[in-house]
Amino acid sequence: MELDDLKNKLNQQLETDHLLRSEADIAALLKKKAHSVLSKIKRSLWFEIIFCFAFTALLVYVGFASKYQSLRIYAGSFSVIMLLITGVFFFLLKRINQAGSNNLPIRENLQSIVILMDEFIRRYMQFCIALLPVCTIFSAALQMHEKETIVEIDTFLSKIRPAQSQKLLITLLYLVISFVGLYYLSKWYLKKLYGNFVDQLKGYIRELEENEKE
Amino acid sequence: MPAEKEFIALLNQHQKIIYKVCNLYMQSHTDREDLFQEITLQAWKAFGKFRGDARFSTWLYRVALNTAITYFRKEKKNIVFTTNELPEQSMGPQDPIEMQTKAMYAAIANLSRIDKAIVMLYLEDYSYNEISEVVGITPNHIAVKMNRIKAKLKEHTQKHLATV
Repeated sequence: MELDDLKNKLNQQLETDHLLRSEADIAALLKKKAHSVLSKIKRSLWFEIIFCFAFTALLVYVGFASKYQSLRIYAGSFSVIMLLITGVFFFLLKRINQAGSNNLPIRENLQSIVILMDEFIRRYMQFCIALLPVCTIFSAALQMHEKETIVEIDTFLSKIRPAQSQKLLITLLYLVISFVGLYYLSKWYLKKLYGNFVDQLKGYIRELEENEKE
Repeated sequence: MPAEKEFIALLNQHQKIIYKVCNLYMQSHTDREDLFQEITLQAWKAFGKFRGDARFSTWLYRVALNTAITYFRKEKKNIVFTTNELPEQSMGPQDPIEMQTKAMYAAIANLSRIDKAIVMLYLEDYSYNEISEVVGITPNHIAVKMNRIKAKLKEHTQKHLATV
């Protein structure tokens, strides 16, 4: 027997295994939390936005309260950068809300999710990777122009008394290890969270497009 | 809230569509319940964009299939077998139609998520034009794909029946 001969039987079978829900049951379901990947990204973006605001508030406080000029400039500059980043997160959130509705045709819906997720992953990665050298170079530049002596750093340096070449080597090693570590950690984290899912969606799009080329 | 009431009333009338999608895409009862909840929520979120130019059932199929295809959660460990996927050793003597249906059902379960969506709409007697509107590929390609799916299902069903 073929598919067409069993249509009614299969339809019946597909309708089994469920108790019909009342309108009250459906109304209760509407209050629950969604688990789709886009909802997960939205929650993660909200978390990042709240974190950005809290961190900006801390930076503003340090900017006003610190007695060191370098720290004041550092905190002040990064509070502005954090506000810009928050703007980027809001922009991504808006795009997800606009594009992430499930009433598009299947292929279009898959494509829009993949484009959004690729963009989210790329921006997140760029942000993580850019942050380390920017912070290091900026703090080093400010440290060199600091007029006040920072007691804690001087005490630490007087204990280990490194030569100039050793200082340079330690800084370079720190930069390389942090950069490589951060790169692979971010990559692993994003792959684990979203990468495998995106690969699967791309597979479905290929399946639909392969069919089209024939 | 009139929109919410209207949505609940419409979903209540068409909830079998969601059951069918859940049964087709999920193996365990718990996962089906979770998917039902997710589809209901996604349909409610998208309801503002439903303009009424398409049938509600077609629109709901589109939302439900999109949600099922992009739904990924870790399988729950306590899988409860339902009558739809009882292990073979627990099956007693059955009539041939029943066995054929079970074999076909098992074959459909092995299809890819995209093929399952096409079969689902085909079983509902949607035309190739209507299926193409939901899937987003041309009717000709739906026809090509459907022929291949039918051949695949026939082969799987025969293999399945040969082992029983």
